[in-house]
Amino acid sequence: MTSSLSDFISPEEMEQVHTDINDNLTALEDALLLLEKEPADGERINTVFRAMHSIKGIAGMFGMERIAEFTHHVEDVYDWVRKGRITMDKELISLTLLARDQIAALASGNPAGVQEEELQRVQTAFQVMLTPAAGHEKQKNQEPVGLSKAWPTEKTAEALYWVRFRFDLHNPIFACATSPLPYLNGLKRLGECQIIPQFDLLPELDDLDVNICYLYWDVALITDQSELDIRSEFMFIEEDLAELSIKKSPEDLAEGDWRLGRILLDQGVISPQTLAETVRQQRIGSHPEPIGALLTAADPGIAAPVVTALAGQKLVKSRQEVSGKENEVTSVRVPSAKLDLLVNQVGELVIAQARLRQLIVSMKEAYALQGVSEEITLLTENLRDSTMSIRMLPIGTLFNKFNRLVRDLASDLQKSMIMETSGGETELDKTVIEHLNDPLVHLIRNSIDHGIESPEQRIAAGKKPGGRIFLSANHAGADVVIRVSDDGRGLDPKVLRAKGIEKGLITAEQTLSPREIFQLIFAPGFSTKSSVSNLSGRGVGMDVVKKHIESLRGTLHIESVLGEGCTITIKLPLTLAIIDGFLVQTCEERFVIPLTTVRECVRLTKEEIDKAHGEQIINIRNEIVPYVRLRDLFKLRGVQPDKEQVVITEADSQRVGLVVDHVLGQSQVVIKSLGSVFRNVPLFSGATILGDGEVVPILDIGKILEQVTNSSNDVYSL
Amino acid sequence: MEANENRLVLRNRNDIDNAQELRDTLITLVKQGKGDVIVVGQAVELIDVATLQVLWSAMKTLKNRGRKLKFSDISPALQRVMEESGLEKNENDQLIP
Amino acid sequence: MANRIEKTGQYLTFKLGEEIFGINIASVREVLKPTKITHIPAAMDFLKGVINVRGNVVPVVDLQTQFKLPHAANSQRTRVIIVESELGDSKVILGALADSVDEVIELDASQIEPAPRVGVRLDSRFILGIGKRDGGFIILLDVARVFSEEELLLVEAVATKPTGATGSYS
Repeated sequence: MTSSLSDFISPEEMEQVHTDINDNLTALEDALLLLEKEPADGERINTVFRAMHSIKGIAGMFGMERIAEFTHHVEDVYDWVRKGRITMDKELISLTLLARDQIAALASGNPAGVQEEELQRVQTAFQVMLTPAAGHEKQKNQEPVGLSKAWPTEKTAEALYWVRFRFDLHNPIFACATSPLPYLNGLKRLGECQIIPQFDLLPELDDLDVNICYLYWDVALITDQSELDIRSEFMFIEEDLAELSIKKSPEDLAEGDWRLGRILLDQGVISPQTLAETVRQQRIGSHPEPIGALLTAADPGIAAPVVTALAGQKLVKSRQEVSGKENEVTSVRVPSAKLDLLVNQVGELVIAQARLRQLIVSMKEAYALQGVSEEITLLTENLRDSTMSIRMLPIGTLFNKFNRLVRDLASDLQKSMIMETSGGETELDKTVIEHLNDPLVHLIRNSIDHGIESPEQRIAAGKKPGGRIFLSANHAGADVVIRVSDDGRGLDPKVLRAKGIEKGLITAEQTLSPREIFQLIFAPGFSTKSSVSNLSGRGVGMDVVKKHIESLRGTLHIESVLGEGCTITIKLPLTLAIIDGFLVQTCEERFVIPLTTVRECVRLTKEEIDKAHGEQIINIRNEIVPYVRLRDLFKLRGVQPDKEQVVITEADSQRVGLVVDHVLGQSQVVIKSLGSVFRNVPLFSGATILGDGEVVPILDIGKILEQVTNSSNDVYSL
Repeated sequence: MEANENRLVLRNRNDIDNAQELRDTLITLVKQGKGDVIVVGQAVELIDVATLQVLWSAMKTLKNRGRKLKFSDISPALQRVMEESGLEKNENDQLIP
Repeated sequence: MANRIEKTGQYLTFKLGEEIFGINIASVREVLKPTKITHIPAAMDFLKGVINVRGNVVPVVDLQTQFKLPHAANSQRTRVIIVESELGDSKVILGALADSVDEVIELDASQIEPAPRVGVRLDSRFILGIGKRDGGFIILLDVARVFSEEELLLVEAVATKPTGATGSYS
């Protein structure tokens, strides 16, 4: 297969060649699957042609004659398709997919993978198409089979927000050591900002009370975060503010009308009449003055809003320039090992920086150092975010791969399948995505093989003949939630129970809830299909899938309604290594709560305790939230203080308050695994090493919640 | 801080604890002096928004009397806090020198 | 059944209470002064918690509790011996508390006897052999057995039955 030219090629070059070919094969497959849905898509047909053309070229240059020859024929056929001489149809797509597989087999260089006969058959098929006598005038209407939607590109678009926050003038915030700076910096982290301070409430010196903050800020912010995310930046001072307004500009960043007049109109600063009149005024006279100047001259009171609007306009313009350049996307290939090294180094840096910061905070009079330390903290946080984001890939890349799988499986089993996805833009760490591949493949196979009924069975059950698999992904707090759902026959608790008894996993006397029965599926050796089909067979059981997910520190749950379908939910921690931690202390022990689970922090007053009449619950704005004292949960010894703090945390849309003696603050922490020895410890999701060298456990809020809601009497003694 | 004629030299450390004192000194400068006030920021290592607010209030007070408040020798720490709070430019969007 | 020691080896000796023990130096990574142990609730009471060893989270085991020996009071001489052991198919690093750590000695096969069935308080499955030196006895520990998966209760029985409301498979 290779000529003597390959003797002169280095292994690295060969690797590059293979990578190039594989990239083309991927692009080819994606385009073909999309063409099944829309056979007339000229762009995609071109993609197929170009992919073949590239592969042919590469193969030719590097002496892979067989590949070159094979692709040559396919390329020719697609040239004719481009020119309209051959029509795109289902058969051609299937054939081309087969061709793709053959090319992949040839390129892998593994002689065992190449089926000579099949290769010939496909090649001949293409050659035949090119003969004038073939006459491939096919019908255009076909049954869509194995249709799959491309994952929606719902990346939350960037928009311009107008944010204003103003402190309550009755509140001496400066005396309480509150500062607006962290909140301004917080906004800067969300995106690009223009900060415009407002002075109209600032009195002269004689009337100035130095403890009150009269200054307030209008901020123009371009971000892809939601209004809720912006609002949550102000979580800790919301009570001190007289005004916090967040308004999203209706104009599209790229295409919208960003003239000053329009901005002021959208904000409600001027009326349409005023704008119209001012524009008319502008047109009179040989030297048109800027709108802003005219408006301010007419009404000096709007001088400040005009400045703000101008700042916002400037921000948008600079963003548009940057976007223009960004659209020429360039990317760089980096070996994974280098990335992993980088992440580790950043992890170590985060620890060292935390230690440094702690040392500096305890030094007196070291103001210059403190300033620098704050800067370094910010830089380290940004570096961490950037590094983490390099490793993050959208899960849609994985979902996309499954299109082919679903299609092939459906056709092999003669079932009709649709795969839908949602949340493909949800990003996960690269290695997590790689590890998810096998479990998800297995779950999908299971669904299609065992879950989805044949078309006849489905019609008999009153369902649509085509089965549906739904893959979704979304962020939930500190986790990513991935669901595999089907609308098949669902799980029958009776059958499962019988199987469980048969396998000796449960006794006949035990009564189990449906949820517990479903969990039996994860026991080793469990399988309800008496004949293991060759698709999901090979002894890869659900228990292996579960172990796999657990090795990623994730969890797996099944829900099902008999006759309607089955949903498997996978929850994984979002970042593998570094999170923002909320440090608390009870007695002599400290704990870290993942900041993403923290909603707010309130004091547990005697009134609240009394109001609850013996129940451990607290009323937060008319919502009843249960709480648990960490000293009770972990049987800690020490005097209970009069004033305790409740940290309200949330997991799975449920809230629980954790009562602690002291709240120590926030810091970035590097997650260290507790190791295999403590693998089965339920309430901790890991540990971290703080700046002072001490190991502090990280609480698993989900598990704590389970425990609290099950009102289990177990306590853990330390 | 030293107040000499119309120069006010900011201290090394400026926060809510000495904001009142700063305010009183500035009031004196406004009432008893004539002409512009120059705020020297060279020694500043620590400064917060409370202090800046006092200075800007002084700026406003002087402006209403046809006088100015200017800065000279802005230290890096002072520069940083001014930038973070958006106060590095005056209302004509010019950088405060 | 205790293993037999065939050749000369070097052993780190340490004390738990009044008894002297030894571990093959090949398993010992280092000896540290004790630092704050962070308590982690665990199934076995001799798993005391974890400590920080140069940025790594290392579990700490109290051998006296594991071997059911009487405890001596914590003294100035308490040390943590950092030990490396095979756990399943991977290596694990653990710390073991010792009342004091003495010296590294060499013992050849002639100085070592197999563990007696009776007379020694410690379960013989943990003992490689009894070393004789200067008229005293050194109990040589089999690190692989002491820190095995079964000991640390990591291996779950396959046919565990679900218990009550919470279930054991979630």
